[in-house]
Amino acid sequence: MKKTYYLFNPGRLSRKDNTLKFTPIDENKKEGKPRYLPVNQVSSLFIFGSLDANSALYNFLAKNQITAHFFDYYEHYTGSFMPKDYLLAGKVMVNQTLYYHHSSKRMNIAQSILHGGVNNMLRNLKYYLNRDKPVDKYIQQIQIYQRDMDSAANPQQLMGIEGNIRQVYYGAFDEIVNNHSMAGRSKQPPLNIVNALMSFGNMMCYTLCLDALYHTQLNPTISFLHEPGTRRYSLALDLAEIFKPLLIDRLIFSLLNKGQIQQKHFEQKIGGCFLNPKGKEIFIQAFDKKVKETIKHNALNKSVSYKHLVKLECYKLSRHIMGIDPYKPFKAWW
Amino acid sequence: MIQITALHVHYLHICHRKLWLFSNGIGMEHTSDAVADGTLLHDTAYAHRTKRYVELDIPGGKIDYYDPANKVIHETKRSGKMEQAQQAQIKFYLYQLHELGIVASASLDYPEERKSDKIIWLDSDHKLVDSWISQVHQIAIAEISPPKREQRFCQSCAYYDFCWSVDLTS
Repeated sequence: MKKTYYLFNPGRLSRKDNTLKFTPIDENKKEGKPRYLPVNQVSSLFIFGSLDANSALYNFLAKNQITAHFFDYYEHYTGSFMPKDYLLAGKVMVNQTLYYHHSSKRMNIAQSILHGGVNNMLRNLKYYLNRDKPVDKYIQQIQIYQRDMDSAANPQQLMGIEGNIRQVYYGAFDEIVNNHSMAGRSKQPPLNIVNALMSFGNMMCYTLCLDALYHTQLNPTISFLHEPGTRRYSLALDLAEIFKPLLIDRLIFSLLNKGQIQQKHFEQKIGGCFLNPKGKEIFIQAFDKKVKETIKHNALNKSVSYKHLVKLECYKLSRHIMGIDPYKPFKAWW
Repeated sequence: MIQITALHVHYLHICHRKLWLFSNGIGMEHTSDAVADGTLLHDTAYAHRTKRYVELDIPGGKIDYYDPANKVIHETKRSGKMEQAQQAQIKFYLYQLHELGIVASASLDYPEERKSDKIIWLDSDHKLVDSWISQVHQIAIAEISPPKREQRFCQSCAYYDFCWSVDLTS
């Protein structure tokens, strides 16, 4: 299994013979001992630190289908280097567009995706209900909204219901998370610790989904639940809807409740709250561990990682638009 | 009309779903360790071969090792598990050469099993390969994919996760 590499330290990444070489550079421009990343083992690079690189490197990354994602100092996602598409399939592209254009076909996929996401949110709440957190009223309220989903007339209405559900769901965070208050969702900028983690985590989940899409024949810009153009790669947002509760929310609950991430891992800036470098490192380590965790896949009769589950979701969508099997979203059962 | 390659003929003899997906651009070979392994074997087995044999460009692909003196195609495989499909692939190469006016034979080499199978061109093969080609066309242009069929080698197929990742229940 290829790995994701996270680069936090400033340095230079270059092509050395047929592999990747990372040379750390400290504040005094002094070069440290280089590290080699075996190119065949790299699936993508997440670049948080300041990085020197030349076109020879990008050509090399492209040849090896390695994506590079960039983040600014405040850990905002700023963009990606996506090598040119290597899996082109005209029929998939045409069908994906047809399914987007056909309003009931589009709604069918959009509703399925949202049902997957809501199911996974409810899973999280039920888990904490079993651990005596008073979240039953949130569960009931979400279930009421969920019933409205099937009668929504268009994706805009569906997104409206999604917004209502999220508002209730985030309300339950204050019952689940000990010692920290979320006080509703705030973003751009996030106003407190819980929101800072959520913004950072959601962005990581989006990027994970984008990476999975890149290695399939689906076009990442044509989406069903989100309007295409919401972001550059809006199909990644659709996929993230399903996996955010599973990967990010669970991670936030456990990091905060176990005290692995604390007040000291954040910087309070004017108008916002952000993870500091140490906090980022802790979060990414936990995230990376999470996506490598495996579950037993009954249908495939083998263990698959969360990362691979995202890829399987892409396959399921492909099968749906190719008329092979109807799409059913991934729903966590534990 | 799609350009039919030896791989299409190979897939025809293994799985029609796989052939349909592949013909429609939904290739999964990039995800497969087995495919990477085959390429590696191809590149590393019989290191001294390249001096004697030439690479042959044929429509839709190339034959990596061709012995022009004896008119023999050499194809390297890890194991003979897919024997029938491999032989069909070879027959297709011989067919292509035949079309170019060359009557050749072939050798399927299994370096790890230390054995080779000889394959010769029969006059009746022409009709046989013609029928494969029309079958490939028929499957490839179908609007809907052929149904999946569970076979013993599904688990080791590059398309396994694509075909079988159906909805999970607890």
